[in-house]
Amino acid sequence: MDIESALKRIAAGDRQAFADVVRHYQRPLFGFLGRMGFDQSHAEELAQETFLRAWINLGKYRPEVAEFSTWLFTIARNLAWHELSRASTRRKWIASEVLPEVASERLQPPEELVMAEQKRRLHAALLKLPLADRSAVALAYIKGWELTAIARIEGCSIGAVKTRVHRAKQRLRQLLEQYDG
Amino acid sequence: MDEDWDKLLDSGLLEAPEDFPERVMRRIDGLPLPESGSRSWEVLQWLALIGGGILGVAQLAGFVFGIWAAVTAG
Repeated sequence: MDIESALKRIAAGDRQAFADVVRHYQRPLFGFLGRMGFDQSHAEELAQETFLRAWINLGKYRPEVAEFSTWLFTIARNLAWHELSRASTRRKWIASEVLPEVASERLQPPEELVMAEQKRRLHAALLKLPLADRSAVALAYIKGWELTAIARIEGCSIGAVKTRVHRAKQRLRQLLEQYDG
Repeated sequence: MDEDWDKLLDSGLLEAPEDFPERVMRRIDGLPLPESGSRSWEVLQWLALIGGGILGVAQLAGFVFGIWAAVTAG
């Protein structure tokens, strides 16, 4: 997607051009928020807020300073951090670590049940990671992204990003092995 | 990490609802178009730079004139 032309169309008053921007970035954004440990409804709220803030501040975006994706995910990352750092939310997240068992109201095929259970375990393991490590690994799994973009968003060096991602994966492995065992 | 877990992490765990772009656009429809304040800000920055430059040159000219006046008076 040519983001520059979409931004030009928006500047010329074409609001619908922003829908293309949303369509293009919604998948990686939901992926990021999922890896940050948000559930579906929280992620939807935060994703909407991210795009809303992007719209309001679009005039402040400088293409010469950063790529649009970096700028957009900086908004998302800051919103996510703010949300997770709030004391009340933190309590909510801790409570949600004990996730409900997979819904059994309707009969699900075994593969779906296994997948849902794996997602539940991974979600619980992600919630146990320190925020900085979780954030780094959540960004690192966005396809086609370079470490420089992650370092810019996280406000740290590339070396620090590498360390955080490595540490996060190691910890996840330990936690998931515990679940498996 | 196990390949299955890696794939699951890669999938992101969540999906955007089908009508997500429409939902966002419904909220944006109530907002004004984003202001492109970049041009005026750039002009301001240039004006400040030119103004500062002129002031600097004037200071230097004043200093040189002062030395010249002192030398010629003596």
